[in-house]
Amino acid sequence: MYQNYSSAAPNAKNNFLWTGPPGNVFIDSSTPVPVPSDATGMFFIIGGAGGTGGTGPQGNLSGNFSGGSGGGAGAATSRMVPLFLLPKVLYIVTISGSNQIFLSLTPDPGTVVQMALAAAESGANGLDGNTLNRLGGAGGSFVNGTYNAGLRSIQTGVGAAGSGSTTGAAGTGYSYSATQPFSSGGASGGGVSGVSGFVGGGASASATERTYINLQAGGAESSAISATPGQFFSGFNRPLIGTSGSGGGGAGSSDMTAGVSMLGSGGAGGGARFFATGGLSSLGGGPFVFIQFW
Amino acid sequence: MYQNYGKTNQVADNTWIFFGQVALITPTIFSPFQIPSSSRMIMITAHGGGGGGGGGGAAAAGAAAAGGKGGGGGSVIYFMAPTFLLPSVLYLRCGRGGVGGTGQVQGGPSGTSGGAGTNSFVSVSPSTLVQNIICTGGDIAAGGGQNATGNTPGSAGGAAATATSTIGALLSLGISRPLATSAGTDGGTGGGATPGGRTLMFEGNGFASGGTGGGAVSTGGVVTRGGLLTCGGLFPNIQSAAAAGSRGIDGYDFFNLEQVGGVYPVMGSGGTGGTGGTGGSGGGRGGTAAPGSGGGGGGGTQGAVSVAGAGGNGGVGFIFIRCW
Repeated sequence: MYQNYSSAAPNAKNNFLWTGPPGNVFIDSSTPVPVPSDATGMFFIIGGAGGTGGTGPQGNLSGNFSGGSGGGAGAATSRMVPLFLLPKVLYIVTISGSNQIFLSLTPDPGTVVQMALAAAESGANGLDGNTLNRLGGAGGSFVNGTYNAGLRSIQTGVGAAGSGSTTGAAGTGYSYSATQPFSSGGASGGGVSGVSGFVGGGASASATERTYINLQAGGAESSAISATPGQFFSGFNRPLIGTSGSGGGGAGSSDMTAGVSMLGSGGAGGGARFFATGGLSSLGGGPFVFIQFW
Repeated sequence: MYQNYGKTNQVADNTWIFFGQVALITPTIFSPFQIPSSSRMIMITAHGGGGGGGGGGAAAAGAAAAGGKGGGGGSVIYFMAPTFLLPSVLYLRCGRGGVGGTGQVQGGPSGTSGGAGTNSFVSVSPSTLVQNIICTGGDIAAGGGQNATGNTPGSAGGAAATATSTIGALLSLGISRPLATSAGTDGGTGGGATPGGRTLMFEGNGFASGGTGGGAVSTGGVVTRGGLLTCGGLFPNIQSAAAAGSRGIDGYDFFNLEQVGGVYPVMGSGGTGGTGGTGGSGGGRGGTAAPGSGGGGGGGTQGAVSVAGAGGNGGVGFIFIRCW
């Protein structure tokens, strides 16, 4: 979806946002980006999709069960380019089977890698919960474009990995990523312990923390607290950043479903459940491209 | 409004420059800055304050005395981003310049090291929490130059380290470039090492440099000048005069608003060290630094009632903002 983003910043002009679908699944697509005739330069940020979280397991009496782990955040990078170096139309390209998004001088998938201004890789998916600790999905690695015109940020880079919860214990949250402020790795779901028929262990997934906020995690057993959707700030009092949702709660909580994640953020893992289907994970946030022409 | 800004000015359309001050205490107050609503891009240059120079050493008549070390320069970061990614109000805090150390008194108390500079911050809220910081001048602030004791020169106190994304979570909202500058140089020793010099154009970061060390005096009463600051390019080298007790030269300061956009680029340098002294003259005081640079080290001295030179003050931190 390509839209004029000026509605979020009324005094801005030639300011656009492209967003891809959540779920870390890429299809063949190319979206033309016409360069405004009155612009002389552009600044853009391109971010990969977040990895989807792992689902929670069904627990039993035989041992401990961890929740699903969170997905990794997509990589992001930014670049500034004078427009006289570029053609009048650029293309945002995704390719089926690839885990990267491109801002390219060509819409042709066969040449897009060679003609990309920049590219960003998606985060890896989290792992489904089971009787073992589950490592979170790795963050996407930055991939430079091969058409190296303009200035590129040297700071943006690898996204954050989601966290795997300790067996039968509380899920682990993820703090902000210092290298990629637009998105974060997903939190993991809570686990359960079924040893000797005792249902216990920590069951909450801890919060995802970003500037100004701490997201409420899914609750522990018998709790009525649901996981919290991720936040996306586009207002005037905060920087524009996004977060993953918090992890789903463990056994006995009213809702083991993970919170929804925002653009580029990793999906959260679902909570484990005693003798019943575990909590659902959330999808990784979609890829995105912000563009400011001036 | 933040009272510590000695000079707060809009120097051209949508261009601002903010300065801190030389102080013993670390500034803690942030000042709000409203991004013009018509702006689409913003460029920020944040520079930490420089360290003060160390005081010189003093010795009895006929004994050698060393010079203090120059203060380290602050680090700078350039940051550029679209304004729609940022809140409409930013919060600024300019770093302090370190106060120059005191010189040793012959037969009395030792001198002191120069005060460290502190970093400059640009944040989305009035705090230095990592989550809130857009950019900061450096990771580790500039060190003050160490004082000399007797004929042992000041040698500790480094330059600021460059900023990293780990101390500014929002740095990646834009394109940035962090740069360090040089440390101050060591003071000279009587009859031994000459105070270290600096080459501004190759060892500075474009805005600032470290200060040079103070001169010394030998057992025979021969004094040495403070360290040489080699400039080249548009302006001549600077160094304290040869006469005993001569004051170090203040650093070049082209931050004067009347000069911005003139013949010289906006830049400055550290102060140079003072010349060593003998009983009558005392050691020369180190030169005062321009914004972001380190102060010069104080010169050593000898004699029954002699006082070594104090270090020069470090330069204040500063923040430029340009919107378009």
